[in-house]
Amino acid sequence: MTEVAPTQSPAPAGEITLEAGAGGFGNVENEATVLGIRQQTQFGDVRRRFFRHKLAVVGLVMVGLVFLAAIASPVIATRPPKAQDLTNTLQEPSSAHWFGTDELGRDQFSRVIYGSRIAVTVGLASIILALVIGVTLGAVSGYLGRGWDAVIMRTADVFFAFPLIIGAIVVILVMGRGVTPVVISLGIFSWATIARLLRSSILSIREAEYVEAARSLGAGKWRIVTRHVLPNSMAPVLVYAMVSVATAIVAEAALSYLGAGVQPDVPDWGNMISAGQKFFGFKDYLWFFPSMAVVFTVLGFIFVGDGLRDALDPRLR
Amino acid sequence: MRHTGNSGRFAAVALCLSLLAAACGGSDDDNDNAGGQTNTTAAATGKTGGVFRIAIGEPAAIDPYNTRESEGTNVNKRLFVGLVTYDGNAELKMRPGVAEKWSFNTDCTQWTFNLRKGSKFTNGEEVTAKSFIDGWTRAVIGTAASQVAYHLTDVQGYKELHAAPPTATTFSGLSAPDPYTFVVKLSASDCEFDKKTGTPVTSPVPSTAGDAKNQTFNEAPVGNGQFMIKPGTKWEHNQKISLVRNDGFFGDKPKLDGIDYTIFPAQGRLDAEYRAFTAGDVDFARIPPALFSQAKSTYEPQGNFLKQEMFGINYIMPNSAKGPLANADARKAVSLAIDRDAINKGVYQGSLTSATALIPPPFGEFYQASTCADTCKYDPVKAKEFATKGGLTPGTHLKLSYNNDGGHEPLVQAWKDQLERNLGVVVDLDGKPFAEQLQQRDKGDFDLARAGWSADYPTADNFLFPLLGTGAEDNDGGYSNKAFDALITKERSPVSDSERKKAIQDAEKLAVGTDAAAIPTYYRTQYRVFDSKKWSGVSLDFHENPTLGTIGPR
Repeated sequence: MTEVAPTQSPAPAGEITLEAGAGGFGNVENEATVLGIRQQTQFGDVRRRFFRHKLAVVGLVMVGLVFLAAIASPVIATRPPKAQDLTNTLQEPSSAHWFGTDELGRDQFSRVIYGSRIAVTVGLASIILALVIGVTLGAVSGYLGRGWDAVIMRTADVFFAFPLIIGAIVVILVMGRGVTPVVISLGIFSWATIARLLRSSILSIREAEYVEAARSLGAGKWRIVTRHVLPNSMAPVLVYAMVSVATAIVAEAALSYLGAGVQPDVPDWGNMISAGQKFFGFKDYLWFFPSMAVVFTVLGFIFVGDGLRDALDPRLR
Repeated sequence: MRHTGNSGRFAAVALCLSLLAAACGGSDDDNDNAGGQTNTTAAATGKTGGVFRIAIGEPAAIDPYNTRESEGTNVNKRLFVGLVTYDGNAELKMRPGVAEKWSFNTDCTQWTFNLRKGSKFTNGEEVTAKSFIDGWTRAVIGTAASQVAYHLTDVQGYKELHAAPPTATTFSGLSAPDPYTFVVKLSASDCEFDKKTGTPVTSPVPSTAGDAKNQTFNEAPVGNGQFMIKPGTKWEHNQKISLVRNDGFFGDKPKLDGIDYTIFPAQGRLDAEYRAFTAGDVDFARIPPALFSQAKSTYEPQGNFLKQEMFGINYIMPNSAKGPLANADARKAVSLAIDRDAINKGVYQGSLTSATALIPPPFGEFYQASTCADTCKYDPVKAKEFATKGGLTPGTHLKLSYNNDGGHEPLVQAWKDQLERNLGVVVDLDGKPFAEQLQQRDKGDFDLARAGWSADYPTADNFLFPLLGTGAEDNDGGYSNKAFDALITKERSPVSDSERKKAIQDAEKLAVGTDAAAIPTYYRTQYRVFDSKKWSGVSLDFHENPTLGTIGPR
């Protein structure tokens, strides 16, 4: 997990530069354009710096490929992922079966492709869930402070105390196996870091001058939080969330590997590695390809997360 | 009863449970490997000496009061000998143990065992009738909470002693007119009771054993067997158990100086065990199903591959009491929809034998290959017909319970695929650790369950009554048929051997053939690897453990 330092974000109004090019979207018509000066929004600036980061672009392409595989699985896969063929079990990779076949004669290539669906679904859904919980609680904790802060942060401490996988297994034992329990269990054990990050970020931003200005202009609490504080404190949270998607994908694979994730017949990378490990040393293709799929996807998300961090960090500007 | 958690060949994963499984009832390790020939001939040539190294899983118990699965049985049978023994071979043969001879009355309700004189525990105390009374009482008394006391259910006074809390402190059915005469009174006829007196729970214990909670004895039991716990050591949990030869043993002296059991963690145990063998760290190993072909091709040419048909069966237990499979035709549809041979070839690399009977072939004259030959084969068209007759309509959900620590995932996925394809039903896989699966089965919370069974003692009855008798402890499918129960009562009563055989065979035909209350899948063929250049006399005993009494260095 990448340590992300809370950063002082730029003021919300578009920064005006004289630099040409990079016409941002969301340009606001204002005096600057009238004067013929290209205005650059914060988002445009971030985007520009992100795309200058080579590894980030590579990561984006990798993540894009995984999404493509997930969306277009039926088109890319050469066979239905659950179709068994007991006359063709444990076949080495060949032109008919690019990644070979497993113990039940299922096509490994098709299963790896379909496995991306579980990885992407679980990775994104669990982090979105963590974001919803973490951002809400983090904002309440950071902005309202006092009793709220104490209660929420101590609760977060409790969740910190559980190792992710152990906590998730406990939840799954109660709820049963399947995609939804995995998403929920990973979500509820990932929110605490998000809440903490956001809280510390808010603590510094709520004292910023522009917030004070808004307050002195008579803006309500709700407006200040949603329009000024949150948008400017989210950067570290977003970076963390992006990297957490990778963590969640690994965690899901680990859960399935341990027999606590999705059902064993579901094409899933963790399931495939688990089934393949007993052939370690003489049918290595069984665990190699699904393992590579995990590595590829996780690296993609980490590269994107790194690029995003660099792009959002004003000190690197 | 020994359920086996491992289904045979798969066992890759979790054998701990399988231990349980194995031990408890069956051992699960059925998987062991396939193989080759038994090497009984070698025994005669062995020299004395050597320490044989074996990998096992953490036993549930090695103290006889609660020894119940394969791993614990492996150790326990080295330390104790009961009234009779069937440890030295894998045949349907019983030999005298501490009892030299025995007799029974006309209705098989009173058994008199005449004990040999001068046989001793390794602490020097003589084994007498009192040692048996102490051992049986200590195991059955309710406060011991033994999970294997039920083997003695039919002994008079069992109920009172086994109640919790006990309403008696002595076992009223047992008596010792003199130190070398042990009399057992039964509350029901059982003409094969003698065959049950070789199971671990019937072992004698010395007067120092104390009660079942005596931790010293639990971890370093003092017995009367061919080996004893190495003096000064005890069972080091999750680490090892070391035994040395008991030179004072009354019978055939073992050749080995000692046995070192290394305890492997449950997760991936079978793999670890096999790899330890290939690395030369143990002398004997079970084979993970996935490596079967490789093991066979490597070790069979060297004569290091052991294959034996054992006293066990793998089967599907349908819920005959409630749900969609309460109808016999629906159960037959399930049996016909499963392609045993294709799964054997594809998943098990041909190492199993498809079953058409519940009582397996080693039972010789009791074995009937035709028990369910009509329905224990693959015939999707007939399966569909039976499904229609039995009301098993497409879309019906069937909960398939299995233990997820025995490497059964490929098997249950193949079943699921075939049932869904051939019958249009929806199979919901429900995998749990073995101990939890047994609880789930007890509650009847399943439609189909993967099940395995290994014999506790060499009787055909042991495959019928416990699994299919009305109200029997392990009849989790809830099958109940008065005609079947009547045949069991008859078979247990004093009838001629041919009448007993007929009653057993009729009972099996009725429950397994006509009613399909158990769906046999594979016989329990066992495979092991060992180093035949180094060791002689290696084969498997009744409990599927190596014949440590005859093994010796070459």
